[in-house]
Amino acid sequence: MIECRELFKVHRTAEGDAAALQGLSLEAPAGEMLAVLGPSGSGKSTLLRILAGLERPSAGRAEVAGADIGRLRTGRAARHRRALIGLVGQSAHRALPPTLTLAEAVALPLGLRRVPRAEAHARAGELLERTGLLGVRDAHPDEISGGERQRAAVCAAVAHRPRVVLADEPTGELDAHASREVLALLASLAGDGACVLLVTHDPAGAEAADRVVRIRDGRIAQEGQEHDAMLVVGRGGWLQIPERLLAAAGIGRHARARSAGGGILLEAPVGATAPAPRARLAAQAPPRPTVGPVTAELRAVSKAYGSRRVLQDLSGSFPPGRLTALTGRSGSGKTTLLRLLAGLEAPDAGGILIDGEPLPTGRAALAMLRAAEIGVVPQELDLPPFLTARELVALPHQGRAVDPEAWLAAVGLGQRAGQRAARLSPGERQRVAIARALAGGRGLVLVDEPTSHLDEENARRIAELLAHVAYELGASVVCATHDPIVAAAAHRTWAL
Amino acid sequence: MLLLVRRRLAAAPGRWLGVTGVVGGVTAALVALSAAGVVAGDRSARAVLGRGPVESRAVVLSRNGGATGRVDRMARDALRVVGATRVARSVLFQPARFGHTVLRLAALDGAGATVRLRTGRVPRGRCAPRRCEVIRVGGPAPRGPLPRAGLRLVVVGTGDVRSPVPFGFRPRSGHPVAAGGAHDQVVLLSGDPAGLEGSVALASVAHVQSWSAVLRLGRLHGWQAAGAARRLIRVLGRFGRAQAGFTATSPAGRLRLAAARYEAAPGRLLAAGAAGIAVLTGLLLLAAGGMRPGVRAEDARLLRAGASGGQRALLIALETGTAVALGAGAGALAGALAARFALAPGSAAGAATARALAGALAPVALAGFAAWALVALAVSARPRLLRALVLLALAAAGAALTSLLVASPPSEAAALPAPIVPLAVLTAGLVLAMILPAVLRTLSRTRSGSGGRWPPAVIELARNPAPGVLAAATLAAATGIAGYGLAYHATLVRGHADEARQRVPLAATLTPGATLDSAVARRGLSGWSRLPGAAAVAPILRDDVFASAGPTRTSLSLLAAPAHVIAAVTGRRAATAGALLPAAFARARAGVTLPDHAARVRIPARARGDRVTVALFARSRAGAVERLSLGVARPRPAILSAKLPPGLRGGRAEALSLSPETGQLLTSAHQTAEGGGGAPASGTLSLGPLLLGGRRGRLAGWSAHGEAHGPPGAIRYALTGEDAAIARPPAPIDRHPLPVLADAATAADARLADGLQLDLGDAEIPVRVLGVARRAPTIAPGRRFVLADVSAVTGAVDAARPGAAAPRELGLAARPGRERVLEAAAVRAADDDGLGVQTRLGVLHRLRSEPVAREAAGALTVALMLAAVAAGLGAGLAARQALRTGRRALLDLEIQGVAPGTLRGTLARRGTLVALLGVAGGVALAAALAPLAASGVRAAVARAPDPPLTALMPWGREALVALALLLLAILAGALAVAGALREPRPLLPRDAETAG
Repeated sequence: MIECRELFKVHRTAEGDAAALQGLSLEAPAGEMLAVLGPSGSGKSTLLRILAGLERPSAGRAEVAGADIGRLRTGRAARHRRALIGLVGQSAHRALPPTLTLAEAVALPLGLRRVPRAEAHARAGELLERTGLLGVRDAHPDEISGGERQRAAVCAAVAHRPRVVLADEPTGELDAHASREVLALLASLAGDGACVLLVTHDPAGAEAADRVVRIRDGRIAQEGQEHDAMLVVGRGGWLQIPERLLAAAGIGRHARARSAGGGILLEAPVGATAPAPRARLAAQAPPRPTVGPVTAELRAVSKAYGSRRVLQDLSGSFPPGRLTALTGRSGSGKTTLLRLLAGLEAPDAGGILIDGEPLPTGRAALAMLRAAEIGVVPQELDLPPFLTARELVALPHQGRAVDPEAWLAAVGLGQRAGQRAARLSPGERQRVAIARALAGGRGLVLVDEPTSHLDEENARRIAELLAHVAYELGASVVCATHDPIVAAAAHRTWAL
Repeated sequence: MLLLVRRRLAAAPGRWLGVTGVVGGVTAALVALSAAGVVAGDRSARAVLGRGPVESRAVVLSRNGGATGRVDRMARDALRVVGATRVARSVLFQPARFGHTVLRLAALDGAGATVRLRTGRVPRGRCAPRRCEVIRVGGPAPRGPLPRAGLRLVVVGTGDVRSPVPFGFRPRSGHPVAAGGAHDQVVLLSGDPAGLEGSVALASVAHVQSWSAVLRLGRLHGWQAAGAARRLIRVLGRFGRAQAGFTATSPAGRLRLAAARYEAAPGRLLAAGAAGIAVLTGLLLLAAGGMRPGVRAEDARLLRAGASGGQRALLIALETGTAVALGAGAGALAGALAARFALAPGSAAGAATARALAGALAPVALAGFAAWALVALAVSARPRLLRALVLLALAAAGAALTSLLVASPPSEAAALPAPIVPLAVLTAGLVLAMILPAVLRTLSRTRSGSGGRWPPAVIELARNPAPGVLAAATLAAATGIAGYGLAYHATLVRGHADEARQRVPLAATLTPGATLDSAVARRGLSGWSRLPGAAAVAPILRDDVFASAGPTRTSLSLLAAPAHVIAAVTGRRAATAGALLPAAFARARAGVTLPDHAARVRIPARARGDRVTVALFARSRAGAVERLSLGVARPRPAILSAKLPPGLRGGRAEALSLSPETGQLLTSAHQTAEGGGGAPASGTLSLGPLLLGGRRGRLAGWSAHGEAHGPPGAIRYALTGEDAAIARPPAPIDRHPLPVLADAATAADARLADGLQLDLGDAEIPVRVLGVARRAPTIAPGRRFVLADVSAVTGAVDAARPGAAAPRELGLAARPGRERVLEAAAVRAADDDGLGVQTRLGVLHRLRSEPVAREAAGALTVALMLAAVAAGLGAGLAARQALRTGRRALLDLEIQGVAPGTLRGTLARRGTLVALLGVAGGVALAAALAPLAASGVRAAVARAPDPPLTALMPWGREALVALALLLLAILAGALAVAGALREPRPLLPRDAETAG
């Protein structure tokens, strides 16, 4: 159903050309759910956009449901997409028209395909029932939870029974429970004979898929689940060896390969100096700002949105030098708690103390407090798109000695410091936001889902950095997450 | 799709109301401009229709000889069809001598209504041979009894015919029938044209009969003029074909002129207002920017949901189309209502409004479609495509502008092609929009390179310039238009003042009236100088003369006035003008005084040779010159004499003229006519002193000039014509040529020929050109002229023939601030004396009330107001848009600890920067547009003003307006963000609120 051969894609930007895909080859038959994993910036989303006919490859062939969609004219590509492809986006709140009810939103794609109204509504009802959303069919997208929205978005994407479903990190912003629901829905589509290509870095997604491939540097590097992953031999014999194997073998810039016992032995050349093990980011010695210890304390805090009570008489404290992981399913109040601590929302009852002092009132005073004491990494990232990564890190800390380059290097973006936020990938933007929150040496750091857009390796890197900031620099880091990697790195866990 | 569009429009009206508002504003402006055009056109047409003498509004059918009753009926019917309510039949006989009297008989239907009685009564009854009652309406009373043969005329009264229409002139009792006409001709008017025309006694007297009617053109509106002209031509043409021998005069030309004025006005006003509307383009794009994020997001959703290109286009078309259509409808309604209520009751407001709407239909439809296309493109196109479209628009506008400028380069004398100013504004806006981002980016890079950092406001503007640059471009266009409007207004006002000064150099000019008497002759200079408000009087002499420069002989106008007046009106420096009056040209009171008691003037005379007729030129105290024939000098000594009229007593004897005796003069003329050369009367004449009632007037210093020379005691003469020689005291012209200013061509001719000779008919005067004047008051452009001091000219002409060059016009100068008083007094006095009068204030008033120019100035005032609105709204919209699109980014910064006040300050500084850039660009645009103002005024007034207009830019006012627009923009931008970020807590996105 999907067959890619030697796909290349070069993005031309003002800063120079960037190769997103470099000879990627891939096959996915009908009835299969294929998970594509890879670090941020590896070309996953580009692959998906090419398969959807939204971008053209620079070279190579991308055959989807019998047509080389990359070579079709725009109109024919649109007709092909319209007839055979369903697209599930990363952000559910951007996928559904906010002015329509769920039923109308799910029926809309059918209306666009001139399906009679009654039939469209019947199909919408059927899909909503199947995904457990029938009860909220008349609700608007902003009246339901993120998981519900994403399920509704999947319903809308598959309402016309596409033969190919392309899903771009559909569980990136969801908790485990909601992720499972969405993945189950996608799996059921594959069960119905559709070819589902799932771009994700969610291990649960990989587990739910029939097959897993991993992309690195624009090529398929590995295939199979992590425990039994096989390297993929590319055209001309190109292999991509995982870094940890190279490091373990002491192989640096050169390697010697020879046959050995029916296999190939890869080793460092004789006399070559073994490279220093790749530095862990947290150990890359981020700057050591003077961090004044800050203790955040909750006293019987309650918060409700309308009739929905999110937090009830919550008490506790977040001492300095600790990374606290806030866990819990979607809607349990993790983000709300962080916002309360940051002074972005006021509790309905109870009090919040920072270093024993209640939060001040007034936006200006709260902003001053945040500038001095509280670093925040929100879940919804809306970095000013016109500022570079360097400027973004430096801007909130004007008047203080901050080394943006060092902090960007600490999150693995040393080479991207001069790039504007608009040209960064979601994962890169997330890391810039983390660097910015940590850079000022503030005593309380509130981080909301810091790894939702990161691959496993980068997630581990960020988790270690947060822990480092807490343990080594004495900050109190509170992190809302459903990523087990982050939870594992935390000193303590708060389950909500 | 419809459901989606409906829900979207209902959910966020704030997004599209901006577009609706701007489109509404444009539409309302178009309808209002159209209404103003209709009204201005109507006023302009009505000014043509209602102005001018009554005969220019009359339809007259005339034929020589008699007419039957059927012809009479047909003529009357034809006139009624063209709208005449009262038809008058008239008959006018050629003058014929009856006994001792030259009679001119006439008859007129309903004479009672047309004649203003002075004495007696109006004629009654039919005009029959045995009694035909008439009144005397012209000429003196008959010298003897009227003839009775065949027709007994009975004069029952005297009176004046009120209107010149029936007879082509206006006979008045006691006045000569017409200028130059026989003074003794008597006009008798009957009230029965048919009876008089049928009189057997007059059968052999040639006569003309006419059917006439005065059309009520003043009641017509501009939009009715074309139809009325067509009907007039059609009906009169049909009548002419049916009845041979008729000639018709009608106001068809006037009607067509009025129709042309009416039809041209709306276009000219729309052209004037189009520039203002061009400013709104920028505003529209800014408003469209408010729709863009929502529509783009929805379009992306639809793309992913599988919508076809047509469906996506439909969403954009429906959403933008609804906003535009609502705006257009509301604007048209508002414009129509405004026009309806703005028009004064009784000014056919309903009809004018309907015509305004009909006239605006095409522009509104065009503008609506253009707005829709523009908004749809602005909303949907990707940045790269937008850039390409902007470039394309810039290329198109630039090409159109260049081709227009090349095809008809704007100049003071040429009308500005209507699209130039809007195109220039559009091009300038686009150029600014293209250049500004690059400039800002370069600046930003420069500062970064030097290690510094611009404030975030500048960085954002440099890297995300779209809305800010659009606002700056809008503001620049607004400021530019405001500047152009100011330049237009200043040029128009200056043009009016120049034109009024050109037509009436001083406060008022008095010209001879029907009696041909000059103002000086009626009251004398002192009488006029006593008028209230009068500061000075300036006799003006105007004549068409020939100028000889070597072999070149050209016709030119001689205009003579007091030197200081010439200096003032030509702008020559006083020193140069002062040279017009060299001391030698100060006219001395030369000649011999005529005593008050002298009843006769006598002179001893003896001609040795042919006889000579001697005459005396004497000037009265009032300045009038009279020629007294003294008699014929013969070889035998004799005393020649003449009675001295009382008016000349106390005056001066200025010259003695010499002519051949009448018999020899006639013989010589006959011989000349036969082809031979007449022999001159020659000899030596001896003239003694003038004998004036016992006093002797010595002729010391006198000498003969012309065809004679020598002192009075021994004048040697060879005379060929009347007054061929003159004996007089010395005059400055004997020693120096007359100093004048001249136009450039005449001055060049004089320079080449080393002198110039003016031929005034009675005198040939050598002149010296002291300087060149670019133009001369009251002289038509292109006409050659010389300007001279009036006393110098009269002195020079008097030296050849006294009294031949009397000033016929009189200029009145007003005391400062007393112009109105003098104007009223001069008009009253001129009316009393039967003189013509033109006042500068009157001319100025007429020029200022020229409807189209006034409305065009009004349109530009509206454009100025639109500019102010655009400046404020543009800045406000840009700030709101920056706030809306940057809301999440601002929230992000606030979350990072940037205080809301700091963020507001950043937005305000950004707005200030945008306003500064826009206003600076606008001032540059105004400087570029200002030279077009003269051409623009020329287009609006649809005629060539004299003197040509000079573009004027009131930079002081422009600076004030630019400052006001700058402050307005800054204030609007600050107000737009003043309320932002002031909630107790940041407003977090709803989707984020509900997230876990």
